[in-house]
This record gives sequence, structure tokens and C-alpha cells, in this order.
Amino acid sequence: MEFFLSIFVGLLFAAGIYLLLHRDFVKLVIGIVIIGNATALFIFVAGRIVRQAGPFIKEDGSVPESFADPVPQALILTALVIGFGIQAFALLLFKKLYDVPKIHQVDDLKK
Amino acid sequence: MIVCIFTIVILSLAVPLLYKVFGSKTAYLLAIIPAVIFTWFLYQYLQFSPAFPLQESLTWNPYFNLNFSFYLDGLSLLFLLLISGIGAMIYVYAGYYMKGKAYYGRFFMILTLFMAAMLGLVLANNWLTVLVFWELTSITSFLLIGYEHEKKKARYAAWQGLLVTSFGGLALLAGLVLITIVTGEYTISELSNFSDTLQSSTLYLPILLCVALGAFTKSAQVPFHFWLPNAMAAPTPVSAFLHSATMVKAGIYFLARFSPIIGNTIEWQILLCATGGLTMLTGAIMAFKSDNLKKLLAYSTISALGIMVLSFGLGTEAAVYAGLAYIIAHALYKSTLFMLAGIIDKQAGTKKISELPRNLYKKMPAAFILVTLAALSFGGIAPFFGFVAKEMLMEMVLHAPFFSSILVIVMVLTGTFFVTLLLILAHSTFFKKKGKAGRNIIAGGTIFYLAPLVTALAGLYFGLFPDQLSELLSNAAATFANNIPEKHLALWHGWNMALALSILSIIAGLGLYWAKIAFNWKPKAGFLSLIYPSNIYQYLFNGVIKLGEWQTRKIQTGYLRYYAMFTLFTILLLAGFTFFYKAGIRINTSTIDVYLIDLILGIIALLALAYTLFSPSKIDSLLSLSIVGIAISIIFFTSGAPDLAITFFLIDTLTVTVFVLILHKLPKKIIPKTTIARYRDAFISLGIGLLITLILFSITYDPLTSRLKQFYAENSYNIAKGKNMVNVILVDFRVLDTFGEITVLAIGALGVFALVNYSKKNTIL
Repeated sequence: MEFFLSIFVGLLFAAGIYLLLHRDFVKLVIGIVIIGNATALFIFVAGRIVRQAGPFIKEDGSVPESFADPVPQALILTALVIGFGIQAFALLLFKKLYDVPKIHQVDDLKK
Repeated sequence: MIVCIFTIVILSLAVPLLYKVFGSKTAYLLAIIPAVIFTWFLYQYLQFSPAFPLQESLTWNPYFNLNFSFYLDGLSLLFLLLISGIGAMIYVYAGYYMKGKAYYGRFFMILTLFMAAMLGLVLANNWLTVLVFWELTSITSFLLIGYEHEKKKARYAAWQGLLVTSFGGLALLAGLVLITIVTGEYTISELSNFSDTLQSSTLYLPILLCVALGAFTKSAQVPFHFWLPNAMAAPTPVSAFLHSATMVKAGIYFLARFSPIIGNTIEWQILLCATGGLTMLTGAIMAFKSDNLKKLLAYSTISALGIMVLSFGLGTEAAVYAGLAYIIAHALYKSTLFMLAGIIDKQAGTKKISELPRNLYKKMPAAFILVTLAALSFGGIAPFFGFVAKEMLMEMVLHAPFFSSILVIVMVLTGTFFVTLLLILAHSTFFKKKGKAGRNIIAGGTIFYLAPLVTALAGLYFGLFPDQLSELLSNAAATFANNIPEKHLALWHGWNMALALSILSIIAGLGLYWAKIAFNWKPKAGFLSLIYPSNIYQYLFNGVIKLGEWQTRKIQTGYLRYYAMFTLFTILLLAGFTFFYKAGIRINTSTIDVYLIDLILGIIALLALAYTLFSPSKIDSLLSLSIVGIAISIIFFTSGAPDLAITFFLIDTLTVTVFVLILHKLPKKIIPKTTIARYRDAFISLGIGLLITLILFSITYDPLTSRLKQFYAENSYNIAKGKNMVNVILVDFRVLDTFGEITVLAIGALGVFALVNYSKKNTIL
């Protein structure tokens, strides 16, 4: 599973960066979103995949034999929420740029 | 010694204050400092000469072996007396010369600092300290050369001097570091014990080249000589000081100091003799071609420095004595000549020999007499000290261990030019037929002539009684080798080959001067200026600036995308290099397993991803993005992370919602990438994607050993009473982090809020 997920993460990053270098603001923000997702998956894969066994303590309080690593999951949760904040802010920033000085592509920022 | 250096430094900082109190008399007051140093050290020397060498040390930073350790032996003393003796004269002279000029206080402050640095340089024993003083002389001389900073020429000359000498300083640093790598020793006086180790080391040649480079740039040897004539932009007292006893002598001092350590090998002799000989001739010829008094003197200094380098390069007993004697002779006559050139410049208003009036000798008789006195010493005419030194030089080349005949020819040629220069100085300057400048030249105040009078008379005195210097020179020569016998200097050696050569050069010099007058040779830039290294310097200087501009233009385009591109590309190169260098490709084949549902999901996600990439419609790419998001959240769900799956799903939905809310207010059409941009961006992004995949392969290759996983498993229920480990981490174990996260989110929300409100006021950016 890690093998295929690694390839998937690489492709996600490639797509994200390709869009990050786009002149269009919307594509750029989509690029940021994809890179954020890719990073989350990256951490997840790096923490190894344990299939269908969540990081839960059993009902009787004992530790299960096999379970997913909770640490990367906690990290990803944090990252996702903050990532969302960034996306929203970036999106609004670009919208304002379009509204007020009528900038609708990245290159116009140079003016 | 330590007290002495620090006192001067502190005094130098107090100069502007003194100026407030004493006005233009400050210089005469300051002249007391070098005078006191001169007398004190001379007294010490005469009293305690058996106790030499004196040592003092003050720990600065022992961790770096950094001490203010000072060491006074014969060589240091010789330089010390020269610096302080000439220094005192320079102050007296400058007091008159600089009267009423702008930045008077600042000038003397820097001059005093410069002198302190010079004294520190010849006294310091720890090479780190030496380097500090060495660079300090570079910096203070930069300030002195650029003193008239309103003039472009002065600024340019100051820059040039600084760049060349600090380039040499870097080379010197490298050389000294190499020496310490080989020997582990920081104290220069101890280094001579390691001379065998150093000279048999494989690093010997780099060490020699680096040290020599440092000394050559400082002492203006070919091909680094070009900065010195330009340094004439400095006020004349500075030129006089720089040329006679300081700055350029620092390199000579260094060669002398290091000759018992790394000297007297074939490489050393070849390098120094070749450079010295070439410099002698180049300097003499360029001086001969100069019409400007100060330039002429500057080139003759270069020539004289070449002579000194040559003699220390030869390293025989005769050569060492000749070099040391010549240092004294040169300091005396060159300071005199420079001071007088300054007087003539100031009173007549020109430095050009051809512009001076015919009867200058009548108007400035004192100047004429003094110039003649010094120039006779310069030309090596008896009974001046210059003659004594020149006889010794002739002896040196006659008994040189190799290439004796070539060296004799070079020496005689240089001597010839010096005689011609003597005639130009004493005759052309004062008796020239025509000249437009200065109808009403006045001689200038008596005090103006005081300092050059002293130095000129010293040249005559030591010429008549050269034995007075024997002990000083013998002590200095002891630095080169322990077993150098004492030598007694004498004016008259009897009829010998050296004298014959001297006479030959005098006759040839007279002939050359006659030819110059008779054929009216105009000073002009000949073939020498073609290979003039100043052009190379200029070319390099402009080249570096152009390179910088080009690089800035290329990288700092002002386009956001290009900044991102350069950053990413650099990351790709550096991380890629590190990855392949340190890790390499490793694939754990046991992880090539996949469920059908994941495979289908993955294919759907990739198709959606491709559509997001290339769709020309914004809303379409957004919707396909959400498909990718859903696929990822299902992957999370099937891989044992239900919390993540839920959160991700939520966030993805929110993102798309926000997008859609905003999207309809933006233009519908997407501005496409150009074809070139497509390939270029595809290259960078695929490169990074590939690298990340490989890194992940490498990470998952090794089994994971996580203590944290075990810790949370054992403690989340026992301590925190929670069964969902992820939740427990977020709200209990790492609750402060979560608090920080919330803060960030709040700030983000605040930003969004501000942006939304911002449009209502409709203010312009």
C-alpha cells in the first residue's frame, strides 16, 4: 500500500506545484490546496499504514495488538485545519486584488 | 608595548576633542606620541639590548588561541623606530599642510589609528593579532586615501587600494591557516622551530603562494602594483607616510618575518627574486615616464620595494643586510622627497614637472636644497646613506648564488634609472625652461621645511657615519638566522667591483637624462600600458558588477511565479543532490500490495486530478478538486484513520463551498499557460514529485520504531481516560499545541474579516 500511496503523493505534489506556478489566481489557490493535501498524505504514509485498525483503546481499556500510529494523525489534523485557514485567507486576498486594483493574474502584481 | 598600542588607539579617538581645544596646533601636539615612542624604544634598546627579544602577552580569547601577544626583536625594533621616527616628522609636516583643511580632526584621528595599526603589526606575535592589525592598516589607509571623498578619483583609488590589499589579506589568512594546520602553532616567534616541517610539507607551495600573495599586494609588487600610484589621491603627508615607512613596508616586513620560517627554498627564491626584479624594472621605467611629481615618486617606491623583495628573496647574508639598509635609506629619502613634492604642489599649485616655472629654485631655494639632498641619496651618490645601501646591494647581486649576471644587469639598469630620476627631480623640477604655473610662488613657512630637513639630514648623517646603524641592522638580521655575523657598515669600501658598477650606472644615468632632454622625450603611455594590470583590475571590477546586475535581473524578476520557480528549482537541486548522495533509491517490495477499492479510488482520483490541472473552466477544476479530496478522505478511512477521514471530508467540503461563494464574482475564464511555461513547469513539478516519491520509498524502506506510539497507547486510557488516542493527543497531551492552532485559525479569521470589510470602505491599496 505504501508503495502506491508514495507514487500518489508524488503525483499530488507535482500537480500542486504545477498549479502553484500558474498565472491564474484560482488555479494557484487550487495548487495550494493540493499541496496541503499532499503534505498530509505524505506524513500519513511516512507514519506507515495499518489497515482498518484505528488508534483506539479497546472497550475494556486494554491496548489492541495492531493499530495505526496516532501521532501522524494528530499532526495531520492540526495541519488540515490550519491549511483551511490559509486557503480561505489566500482566496479572499486574491478576490480583493481582483475587486479593487483589478488584478486578475499573478504577473499583474508586478505593476 | 601593549599599553603603548592601546594608548595610541584611545588617543586617536580623542583627536577630534583635542582639535576642539587646540585647533590647528593639534598636529604638533600629536607628534609627541610617535616622538615619545621613538625615544622610549630607542632608550629601552640602548639600555637593555641583551634582554632582547622582549615579550608581552594579554589573553584575549584563549579558546581561539587569540592573544594580544607582542614581541620585540631586532627586526620589529627597526620597523618600530622607522614608523615612529618618520611618523613624528609626518605629524609636524601635516600640521602645516593640513592647516585649514576640512575634516582636520578626522584626518588626524585616522592617521593616528593607522600608525597604531602599523606599530601593532610589527609588534604582534600571534598571527591572528597580526592579521587584525594587517586588515586595520588596509581599512585606515582606505580612509586616508579616500580622505578627499568629494573627488571621484580619490574614492576610486581608495576602493582600488582596499580591494587589492584586502584580497591579499584573504590570501594571507589562507596561508596562515595552512601553516597552523601543518604546525598547530599560532605564535610567529615559535614558528621558526617548525621550518623543516613546513618546508617538507605537501602544503608548502600553497602556503608560500598565499603568504607571498598577501605580501605582494600590500607591497605593490608586479602585477599588483597599480593601486599604489593611484593612492596618490591621498593628501601628501599620507603618501609620504604610506610610502616611506608604513603600509607598503608591511608586506616587506612580513616577508622578512617569514623568511626564517618558510624562506630560503628554491621556490621562495625563484618567486621573490623574479617578482622583485620585475617590479624593480617596471617601477623604474614607469617613474621615468611620469611627468607628475607624486606619480614619479610612487613608481620609484614600487621599484624600491622590488629591490627589497629581491634582497629578501636571495636571503644571503649580504642580501639581508643590503635589504635592511635599503629599507632605512628608502624611508629617509622617500619621506623627504614626498614632503617636498607636497610643498611644491601646495605652493606652486601643480605637481606636473613640465608646468613648473623656470626659476623655481630662486623662489623656493630651501626646497631645492632639500630635494637635492634627498635625491642624491635616492640616486645612490656618496656620501649619502643611499650610496651605502646601494653599494651593499651591488655586493649582494655580485655574490648572488644564482643568476648573478642577470641580477647585476637588472640592478645596474635600475640604478641608471634612479640616477636619471635624481636629475629629473633636482634639475628638471627647478630649472625647467618653460612653465605656466604660479607666477607668484612663495616658499612657505619655515615649519613646513622642518620635517623634511630632519629626514634629509638624517640621510646625510647616516651616510657619513653608517657604522652607527651597524648594531641595529645586526640585531634585525639576527631574525633571519641565528648565526648571521655582525656587519659593520662603511661609506668607503675601497675600489671594488661594486663601486665600478655604481659609477657605471651614474654615467649611464647621466647619459639617459641627457638623451631625455636632448630628444625631448615626452612622457607617454607606451607598450607597458597595454599589459598594465590596472586594466585587468578594471575589467574584473566591472565584470563582477555586471554579473551581479545580470543575476539580479534574472532572479529578481519581480514576477511572483519566478521567485517560486527559482526557490523550487533550488530545492529540487539541493534536496535531490543530498538524497542521491546520502540515501539513494531504495524500495521496500513488501509494501507493493493494494486492495481493489483503493486501486479504483486512486484511478478516479488521478483522473480528477488531471482534469483539475488542465480544465479551462474554474468551476470544473474546483469540482474535480473536491473529487480528489473525497478520494483522499476514503483512503484515510480505509487506512485506520477515521478521524482524519471525517475532518478531511469536512474541510474539503468547506473549501469548495468558500470557493464557490467567491468564484462567481471572479472572471470565468482561466488565463492559460504558454507552451514553454507548460514544459518548464511540468519539468520542475514532475521533478519534485518524483523526488518526493523516492523519499517516501526510502522512508518506508526501514521498519518504523516509534516510542511515541507505544507511549500514547499505554497512557491515553490510564492517564487521560480517553479511548481515542488521536483525540487524547489533541485535547490532552498536546493541548497547548491545539491552543496555538486555534489562535492561528482565529488570526486567519480576523484577516478574512478584515479583507471582507475592506472592500466596503473601498479604499485603494
